[in-house]
Amino acid sequence: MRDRENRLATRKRAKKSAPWGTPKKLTPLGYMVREVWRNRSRTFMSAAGIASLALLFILFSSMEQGLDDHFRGETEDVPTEESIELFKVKQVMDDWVYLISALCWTLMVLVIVNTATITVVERKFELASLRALGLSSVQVSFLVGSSMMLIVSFGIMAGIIASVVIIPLLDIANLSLLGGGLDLPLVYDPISIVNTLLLGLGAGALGLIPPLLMIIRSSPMEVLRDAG
Amino acid sequence: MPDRPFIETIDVVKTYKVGSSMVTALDHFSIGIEEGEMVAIMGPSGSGKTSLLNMIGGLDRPDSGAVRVKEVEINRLGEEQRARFRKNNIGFIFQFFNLIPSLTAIENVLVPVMFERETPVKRAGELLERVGLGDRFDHLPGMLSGGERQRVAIARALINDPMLILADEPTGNIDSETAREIVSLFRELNDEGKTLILATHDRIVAGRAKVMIKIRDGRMVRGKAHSRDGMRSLSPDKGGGVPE
Ligand SMILES: Nc1ncnc2c1ncn2[C@@H]1O[C@H](COP(=O)(O)OP(=O)(O)OP(=O)(O)O)[C@@H](O)[C@H]1O
Ligand SMILES: [Mg+2]
Repeated sequence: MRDRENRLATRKRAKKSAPWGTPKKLTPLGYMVREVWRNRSRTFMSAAGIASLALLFILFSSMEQGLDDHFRGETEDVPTEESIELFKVKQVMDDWVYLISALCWTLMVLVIVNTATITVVERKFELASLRALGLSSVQVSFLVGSSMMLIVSFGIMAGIIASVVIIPLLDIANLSLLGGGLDLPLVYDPISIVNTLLLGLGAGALGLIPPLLMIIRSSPMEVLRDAG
Repeated sequence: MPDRPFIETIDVVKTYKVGSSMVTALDHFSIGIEEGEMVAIMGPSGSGKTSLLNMIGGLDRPDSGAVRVKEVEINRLGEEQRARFRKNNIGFIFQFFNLIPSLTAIENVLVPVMFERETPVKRAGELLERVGLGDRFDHLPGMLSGGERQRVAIARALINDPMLILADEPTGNIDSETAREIVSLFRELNDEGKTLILATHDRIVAGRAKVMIKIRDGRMVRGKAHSRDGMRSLSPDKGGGVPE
């Protein structure tokens, strides 16, 4: 009896050692979140990279939308000098917007490939152990893939939130630098949020292919040996 | 086929390519292990102990020959099938414990079953109590000593109640006092009917096993060998072993 009490007491003391206490269960999701948290500085850097690219993408969408709106309502017979300048900008934008979007997306894919590959290489020993313990390569890929998707979602969300705050501010500040002294109109198009989400999902899916192939191709045995 | 041993390897050859040359890790290796045995595999470094355990555990496939565990010819299974076989039938214990650093002791015990719908948390707790870690449930591996980590790994190996436990130098990274405790634990498991195969350099560990097998250069030099024509005692000069 006393023994049991002692044990319980020690258990209570031991509780302090891990902030989350004794779990009710271990789920792949819980494990994944823990891993993301453990590598939080890298998670943060990758998410920040993805966020800035998302912000850039939304910014360009808004510029294009702003110019479109500006000229849709155009009724003046004699265009002002500013209108002519703006029209020039619009022509350039129309040519470049796709290229810039594509560039944003490519960079996003690269950030994801990079982060996921580092994760897989760095956790090689751990991932091989999981497979030696009987998890299938599909399950291990799920773990890595979903933790990457979590990071991508963080990034995209942060980018969207930042854009909601920053773009109206930029519009007020008249973006005079970018427009070469022109008052470049910015119109926040809600569709660009959806586009950004799709962009992130697509980039995530594509960027995960090489690292996940790495997992599937590797043999649990080879990797265990490496670490030994 | 009547009375095939619980585990058998038949004429297993495994070679590894190192640069342009080939290294033979297992050289026509045949062995039969009965259910409920506790086998120690000894041999110098590079003799093929790990390779043999990897074959039996389905982590690797032989170049030729067959590996059969519980009537399943595991060398014929694909990667995913072998993973499932491992999960359900084999408990692995490694030299470097291979615990997940971000998970607590009890969570580590649950790792093999984390994708299952029902998580046997209660069983995991009981196993930890059993290996003497009743007060370490929530400790991260970094907070545990080597011996404690290995005991977590043993609890993890038992979570699916495997009939076969494979341990590759389980005491290679712990002091001899703790090693003795670990081996006692192995003996206990063996007494409960589990089959254990340990690769070890440690004479004391090997001495507590029921059967000792010595291998060198991928061949058995002493022990009980098994071949197509049944069990027979083997000594190095009777073929099958290495001529010395
Ligand atoms: N993946 C591999 N690539 C190349 N050579 C390998 C590989 N695995 C094993 N070998 C070689 O096969 C032989 C047997 O290796 P194995 O690891 O089975 O020996 P061991 O008895 O476990 O040794 P140790 O006691 O050092 O762990 C060694 O010569 C080793 O160099
Ligand atoms: Mg070895």
